[in-house]
Formats: sequence, C-alpha cells, structure tokens
Amino acid sequence: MPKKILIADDDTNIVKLLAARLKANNYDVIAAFDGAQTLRMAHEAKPDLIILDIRMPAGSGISTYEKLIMSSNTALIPVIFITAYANEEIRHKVTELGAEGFITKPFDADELLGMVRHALKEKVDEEPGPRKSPYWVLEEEK
Amino acid sequence: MTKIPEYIYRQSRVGLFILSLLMVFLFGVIDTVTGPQFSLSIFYLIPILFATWFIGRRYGFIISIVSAATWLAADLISTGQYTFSIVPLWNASIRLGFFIIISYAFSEIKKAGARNSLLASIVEYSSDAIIGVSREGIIFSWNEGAEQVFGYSSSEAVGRSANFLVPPDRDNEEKQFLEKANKGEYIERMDTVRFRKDGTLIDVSMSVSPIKDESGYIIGSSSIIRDITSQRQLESLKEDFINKVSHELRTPLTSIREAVSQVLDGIHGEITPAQKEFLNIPFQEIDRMKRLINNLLEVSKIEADMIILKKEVFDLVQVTREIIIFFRPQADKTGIELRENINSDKFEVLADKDKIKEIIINLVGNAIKFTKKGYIEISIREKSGLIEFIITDTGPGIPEEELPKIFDKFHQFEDYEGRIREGSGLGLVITKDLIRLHGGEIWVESKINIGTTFTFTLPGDIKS
Repeated sequence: MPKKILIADDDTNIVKLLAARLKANNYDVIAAFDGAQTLRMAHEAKPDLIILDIRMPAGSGISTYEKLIMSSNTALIPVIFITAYANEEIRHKVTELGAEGFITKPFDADELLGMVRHALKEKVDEEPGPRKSPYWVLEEEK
Repeated sequence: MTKIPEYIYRQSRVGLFILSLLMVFLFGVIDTVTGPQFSLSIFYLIPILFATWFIGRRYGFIISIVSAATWLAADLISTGQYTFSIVPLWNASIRLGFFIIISYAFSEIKKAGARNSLLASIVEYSSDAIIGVSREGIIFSWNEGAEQVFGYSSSEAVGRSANFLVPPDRDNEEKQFLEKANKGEYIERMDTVRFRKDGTLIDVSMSVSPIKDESGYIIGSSSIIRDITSQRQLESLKEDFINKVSHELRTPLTSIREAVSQVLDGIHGEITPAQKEFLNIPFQEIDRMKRLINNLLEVSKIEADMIILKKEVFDLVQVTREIIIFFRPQADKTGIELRENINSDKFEVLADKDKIKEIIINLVGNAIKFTKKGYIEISIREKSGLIEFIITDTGPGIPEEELPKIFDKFHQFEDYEGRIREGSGLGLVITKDLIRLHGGEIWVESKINIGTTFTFTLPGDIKS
C-alpha cells in the first residue's frame, strides 16, 4: 500500500507540482493550505509524512509543528520543512525541535525524494543517518 | 585633550623676552637719571602704562593690574640714592622678572581655565550621555546628553546610585562595570539595555573608563552611553527586507524550476529529444538565477552584519578530502589532475564548518572552471601559528592589472581570448568576506599562461 503524504503549503502551484512529483513516485498525496487545516488533516487522515511550509496563513509551519508534536496522535509523524526563507536560524530551530528534514526552495527533486524516502525509512542508496526524533521519544526508548 | 597651538606659545615668549630686555635697559637709564622714586613723571608713567597695556591685551585686565601693582610696589619700598651704577639696572630686572613671572603664571591659570571650560562644554553638549560615577557607584555628573537619552534632569540623577537605570534582569551589570573601572580597566562599546524615565527600554552602546586624579588614584568612572535604538530598528528593517525579497524571489522560481523539471523527467508524458534539449536551456538558466539570488542574499547579509558564525572544532583535512571527492568527476571530465599536498593527517580548526566548505568549494570550483589542462593542487600547511590553505592551478592566469580588482563586487574579467567569463561576480567577494569574518586573509598570485594561486589563512589556535 502506498504511503500517504500530507503536503501543507499555501501556494497552490507548489502543492500541485509536489503532488505530481510524489504521485509519479507512487505515493498517496493529500493537501492542506493553512495551519489549521494541516492540523485537522494530520489528526483525521493520519499521514505517514508531512511536508510543511513555514510561511502559511492560520498558523505558521513552526507553530503547527509545535502543536503536532504536542499531541500523541501526531507526535510520531515525521515532518520535512520546506521554505523559501534561507534563514539558518529557522533551520537550526526546527532541527533542534526534531524535524526530519529541512529543504529550501527552489528545491531539487532528487534531494526532496531522497529525504522523503529516508523519512519513511524506505530503502535508499546511501547509508541512512541516525533518526532524529522528538527528544522525549528518545528518552522513552532508553 | 585641548592643545594650545605651539606657535602662540612661541610668539608670546619671544615677544616677552625681547620686550623685557628693552625695558631693563630703558628703565635702568630712567632710574639712573631720576633716582628711586614713585612719581607721576612722564618718564615713569609711559613705560608702566605701555607694559600694562601690553600685558592686559595679551592676558586680560586683572593680570595687567596685578603686574603693574608689583612694579609700583618695588618702587615704594626702595628709598635713598643709588650707591652703585649697576643698582638701577638690577632693580629694573628684578621688577621685570616679577612682572613676567606673575603674568606668565596668571596666563597659565587662565589657559587651564579656558581648557577646562572648553572640555566641560564639549562634555555638556555632547549628544551622547556622559555620566560620572564615584567609586561607590553614586552619580556625580550628568550631562545634557544624559538628560536627553534617559529623560532625567541633572538634579534628579546626581546623588542617586547608577543602578537605577539598569533593568532588573541585568542587575549585576553596573556592579561589574564599577568593579572593573575601580581596578583601572576599560569597557569598550558594550551593547546593552537601559531604562528611560518614561519606563521604556532603550538599546544602548556604552563605554566605561576609570577617572584618575593627579596622583593616579582612581576616583570613579565615566560612562559614555549612546542610544542605538533607532539604529537597531533600521537594522532589523533591513534584515526583514532582505529576508522578504529573497522569499519573494525564490517562491516563483521554485514553481518554474519544478514544472520544467517534471516535464523534462517525463512525468507528464514522453517528450522528444528536441523538446528535451530546448527545455534544458531554461532549466540551466533557472539554476544560474538561483545561484545569483543565493549569492546576492549572502552579500547583503554580510553587509548588514547578519552573518553569525557557528564555530566548532573540526578537521580541515577531512572536509577538504570530501570536497576533492565531490569535484573529482568534473576534473576527470576535463582531463585535469586534482591532487592534494597535505603533510599532516589532521588540521583542526575552530571555525564555521559550512562557511569554510563554501569558501573551499568556491575557490576549487573557480579553479576547475578555468583550468583546461595540467593540474589543480590543494595544500594545507601551518605557518607561524596560522593555517594556510593554498589552491594552485595551471589555468590561463589573471592579467596583472586585473589582480587588484578580482575581489570587487560584480567584477567579471575577460580571459585572454576576450570572452567574458560567466558567473555572478560575487563568489570571490563572499569568499573574501567569509574569510575576513573568521579573522583570516586571502590573497592571489597569478602569471598569464602559467597559473593562479589563491592562498587563505585561518587562525590556528586549536591544534591537534
């Protein structure tokens, strides 16, 4: 069964293009266009991965992510951030929070797909790195 | 410190000396003729009036009156006849000696007074707050700048503890400043936050220095405080602008690139080789534009002081070898040798790893772009406490007249065949600035048709 990916981005062109790219690689795709909708769909549809834009109406990507990891239903869904802000502070902030990946626009399709496969723990050509989970999950596993 | 111009001193001293010689001679002659006296004769009054006028003009009314009085006093106490002919000359020189000493002493006092009032008015009317604090931390001086910056008048502030301007979360700061200043240390331009009278917080930059008395004992400290709130606001506006522009430029570029890329990848149906060839043109140009936007953003960030280095200790050799592996296929394709000349297995540096990678990739990338035959050699060595990173190529070389300009913004030079080389003209600017931020230097040596060598240094405090 194909894995389900939730794309959250207010730019419809990006959503359309990302959906086409992911569908071509045999993923199921659902889309949300703002923060509130993303939260709702993450709870209802239980995606295997969320690709989250940072600048969105009704709750930025970061605040949405913080809400996602606060809820036990959605805390374990891996999240890849995608943003046109080339701000290193944001990158450090989200990796510290435990995000699976961070991609700046304009992205490279291969880079994105590699990150998606890695986040979904699918087989990748290269050696997978250590999984970055939210900090309390790491503590539980100990 | 105020400095009285040298020539005024010299002029007044030479003038006084010549005048006093003349006067000793003249008054000696008069005294011989008239004998010791205190009279209103024209011979007596003219020289006194002349001297009084001269002194008065130069040093002021009071000084001239006092000097004239000493002159007259000398006459009032000497009576009788002169026994020796040298006595009147001697008297005259003693009188003049007093005259000159008194006028000189007064003039010095007056100059010092002028200097002090000049300094005081510089302090008073400075737009920066200048505050004098005693050893115990009590404010004893508060200038007009301080009134403007903090909103407290001098009478409200003097006598209070300097702590009353400090926000609670920085309570210890003023105490530390005081301790440092009392030990004779200086604090240079520290950025911090202070309270205004109206309760608002302002960003300030402050310098603290000890105040010493004449014997060198520290009697307190002076703080110069500049309000940098508006400067800060401007900086953050600039930062916002740069972030926004970059965001707005990248967003459409993302859609364009991905759409072209998907058609090229055949996601939306097979395409013909000709279609593929022509779609590759926009695809490559988009990548070029992406690089340009990234570079422009980086240059603006450097200029706006928005780059914060994330320093860590890492092995420069390992980073370099990774980059060599990355560039090897490209070098093989052109048929040039990409080799290393590193003596040590490890060169640990304390630097921002990503930025150092960017610097090396930029320089090696340039070498690969321009070198069509021969080799590119990367060496790392330690030289007098610095780490030297050297990239030598056997490329076409850079003309001598171009060399000083290659680190200029948007400088693109022609190669010897007259073609303008591609690139944004920003790569070397960024490279240089990033090295400078790390406390290093970069320079270039080049000979036409022989090759080019770029060398940059990094501080090598951390050794393996």
